[in-house]
Amino acid sequence: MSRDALAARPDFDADDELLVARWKDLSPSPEIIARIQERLPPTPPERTLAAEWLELLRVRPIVHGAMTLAAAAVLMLATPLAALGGILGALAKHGE
Amino acid sequence: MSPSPEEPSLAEIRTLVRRALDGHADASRALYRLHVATVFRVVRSWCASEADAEELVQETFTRAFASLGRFEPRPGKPFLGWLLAIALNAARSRHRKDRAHQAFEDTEHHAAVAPSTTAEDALLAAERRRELLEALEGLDERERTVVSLRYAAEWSAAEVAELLGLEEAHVRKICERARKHLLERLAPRLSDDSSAVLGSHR
Repeated sequence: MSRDALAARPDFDADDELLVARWKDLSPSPEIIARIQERLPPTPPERTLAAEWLELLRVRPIVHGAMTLAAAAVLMLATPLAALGGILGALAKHGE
Repeated sequence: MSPSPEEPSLAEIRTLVRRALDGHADASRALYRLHVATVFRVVRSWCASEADAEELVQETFTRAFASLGRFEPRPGKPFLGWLLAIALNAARSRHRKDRAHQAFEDTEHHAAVAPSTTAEDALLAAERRRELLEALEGLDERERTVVSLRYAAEWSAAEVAELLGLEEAHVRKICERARKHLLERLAPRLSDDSSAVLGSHR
C-alpha cells in the first residue's frame, strides 16, 4: 500500500491497514452471496393502515372480524353518539 | 458520518429504499449486494463456523427488509450502520449462546477464492482465517464489537463511536487495547504481510 493510500485514511495507520487486510480473509465467496440472496424473502411493499386492517381480516376473518365489531361497539357506547342515541331513544319512548 | 468510498450516497440509498418499498426486487437486490460483504465480515468475526455466519447474515437482511418502511436514511444515520446494528445484535446473542463451541469450522468452499487459486493458497487462507478468529476469542464483547466495525467495515473511530453511542476517545482506547492483543497473536503472520506493505513504501 502506498503512502498516498495511507494518507487518504488518516484514521488508519499501517498496523490498522494490516488488520483490515486480514479481515478481508473473512469476505464471503460469490457462492455464499448468491446462496443467501436466494433465501431472502421479497421486501413486503409498504401498506396503508387501511390495507393492514384489510389484510388482518383476510387472514383470520372470523376472529379479527369479531374483535373489530366488539371494538366498534365499545367505541359507540363510549362516544357522544351513544348519548345522542340515548336521547333519541328516550324521545321515541316518550312519544309512544 | 460521511460514506466510505464503497458506500453509495444518501440520495442513492433513499432511491433504492423507496423502490424496494414499492416492490421492485432489483432495488432490494441492489441494497443487499452493496452491503452483504461488509455485513458478512462483521458477523463472521463472531462466528465459529461459516454456516452460522451465513444464517446470521440471512437473518439480518430478512429483518432489515421486513422493517424497511421504518428506516429513514439521513445524514448521520447510514443504511450500513442500521444494518450493522441489526447484525451485531444477532451475532452477539448467538455468540453468547455458543460460547462452548470453540472449534472453528471452515468446511465450506470458502471466501473470495479466485478460480485460479491453488489448493495450497486455499489452505493458507483457511489458516489465516482460523488464526484471526482464535485471536478474536481473546477479546471481550466490547473490544470485539469495536474491532469488527473498525476493520471489517473499515470505519473511523468517530463512526464507530456514533453507532455504539460512545465517546470517540473511549472507542480509540478500546481499539488500542484490542489491537495490541491482536497484533501480538498474529505477529508471525503479520510480519510477512508487513514486508509486503512496507516493500511498497520503499
